[in-house]
Amino acid sequence: MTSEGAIFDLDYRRYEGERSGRRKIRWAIVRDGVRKVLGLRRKARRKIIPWGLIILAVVPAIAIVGFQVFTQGLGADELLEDLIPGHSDYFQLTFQLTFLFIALSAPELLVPDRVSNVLTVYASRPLTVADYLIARVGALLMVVLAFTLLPQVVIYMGGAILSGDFVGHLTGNLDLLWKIPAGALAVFATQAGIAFIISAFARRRGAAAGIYIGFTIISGGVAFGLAESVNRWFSVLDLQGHAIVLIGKIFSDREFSEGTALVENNISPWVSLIAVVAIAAVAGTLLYRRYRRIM
Amino acid sequence: MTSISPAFVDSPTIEVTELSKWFGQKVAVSNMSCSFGPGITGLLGPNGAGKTTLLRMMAGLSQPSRGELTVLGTNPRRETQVFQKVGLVPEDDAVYEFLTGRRFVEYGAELAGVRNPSSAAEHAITAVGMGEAAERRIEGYSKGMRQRIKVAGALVNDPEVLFLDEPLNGADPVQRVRLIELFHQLAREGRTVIVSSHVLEEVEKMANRVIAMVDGRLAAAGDAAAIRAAFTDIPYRVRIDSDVPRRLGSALLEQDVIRSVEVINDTLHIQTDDLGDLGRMLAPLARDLDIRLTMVQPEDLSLESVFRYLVHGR
Repeated sequence: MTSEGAIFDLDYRRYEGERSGRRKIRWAIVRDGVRKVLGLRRKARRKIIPWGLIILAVVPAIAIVGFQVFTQGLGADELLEDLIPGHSDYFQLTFQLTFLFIALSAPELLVPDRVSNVLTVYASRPLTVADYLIARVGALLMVVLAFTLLPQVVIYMGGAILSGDFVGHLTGNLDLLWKIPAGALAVFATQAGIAFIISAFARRRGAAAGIYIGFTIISGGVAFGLAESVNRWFSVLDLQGHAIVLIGKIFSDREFSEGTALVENNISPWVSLIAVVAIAAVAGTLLYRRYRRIM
Repeated sequence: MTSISPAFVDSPTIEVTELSKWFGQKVAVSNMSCSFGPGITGLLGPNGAGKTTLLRMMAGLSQPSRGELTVLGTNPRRETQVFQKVGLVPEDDAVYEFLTGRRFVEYGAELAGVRNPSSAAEHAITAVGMGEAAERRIEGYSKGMRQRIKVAGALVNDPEVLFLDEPLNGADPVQRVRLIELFHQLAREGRTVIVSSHVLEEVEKMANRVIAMVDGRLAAAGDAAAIRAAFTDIPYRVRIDSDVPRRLGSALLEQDVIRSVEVINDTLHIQTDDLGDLGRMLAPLARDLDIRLTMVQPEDLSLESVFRYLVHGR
């Protein structure tokens, strides 16, 4: 034991380091958003839904490639080619999962910040309303792109490996490099815009997700009903349909979009493109105006 | 040499010029003009006086309806870069409950553009005495701990200007002393610290200058004693303890400087218009009468009394 004592200065010490610019600050918000969406650094129950949906989106792709490996050399290549889903077919599988993922993630990104006054933390920092919103939307876009692209990449690479001509397969399908992201963007622009707008006003995450899912389903039904009974142009109200039509167009797969109100009523895919751009633009403007007022 | 109004300071870091803010029909801040400089300034006012609205405008959280406001020479709503040098402790619980205290402060550092968030967070957490609890989630924190982690979050970017809205809410007495000392140190380093609080005793311990608001308007500015002296129509109350209070009271009544004398439980309570005259007269009078004075204490020089006069007139 020693009889000597000491008092240590615990007072505030100035930060002498450099400061980074807005790009890095925005990136910090994107990272935070990705963590929120994926439930990282949260309790286990917060991870179940996002990771469950991701697994549901990726596992079939791995199974498809595995199945191809297993059946290779059985002499049933032509039959299997018809059975095994291609890239646009796989979009059909992930489309509804993406829809659910966005429905649950957009509220997670906006509602708690606003309802629990954490917006103050952002508003009192060197960033603008646009920085905050771009970073929040960017976080979801990153995850949704990964969510959509990962299984497509698995199928793409699996196909290349199994083809026996790896380089030839890759170079022969270069168009997929823009088609897959373009399809994912079409899905994101249509679905996320509306999900974010609802989340910007809702006070509870569950309510925001419910309203969004209900709104999308009802708009599809209303579009069908009104297009059939009043005027075919009412089919433009089928919001999900626009993304489906665009994916069908991108992959030159008319079958993909058959059954949508838009295709049934002979509405041009260009109208869908304009609708998707308009939805994204209106959603962005409304979101900005809403947050300009409250931040 | 020209003297400036007590509402303004020589080297302002924040300038408020004819600032107003209204919400629909309700006028929250009305035509305020004042400035703030290095040191601690207490922003006082009863509930609904507009102090939080003013603080929010200064912190860039709210757009003024009319008037001008500059923080470190810039408009905080237009040039958000100024927030690299500003810290805010809001009154409400603006924290992510699911984050640990350390992560919350680090995130604040990242949002402020601090290059080394971990090291800056470590300093700030140590400064508020939260080192041991920093790895716990905020949802498990007491009110006082939340308050301290918010203060750490505001300090993490080494702000030149610090806005504190009820910063000692929920903190225990030891932590209050520590936080007040920390704020004093920040002020000594030349930072502008603005404290809004309804606990006048705390403001008195912290602030050497006060801006008082009533009904959205600037009601008074300066230090508590100077504001009190400005109430020329309200006499000072002074308590005098002596061995023969009644005899002293009779003698005091004959003096011009004394307005009234009251004896309550063997203690004299007098009213006077001039504390200086009273001071000069009292000691010789007591000596001449062979009376022993044990205590002479002004009763309404405290911020609380000043505040009472501002709000209620008496």
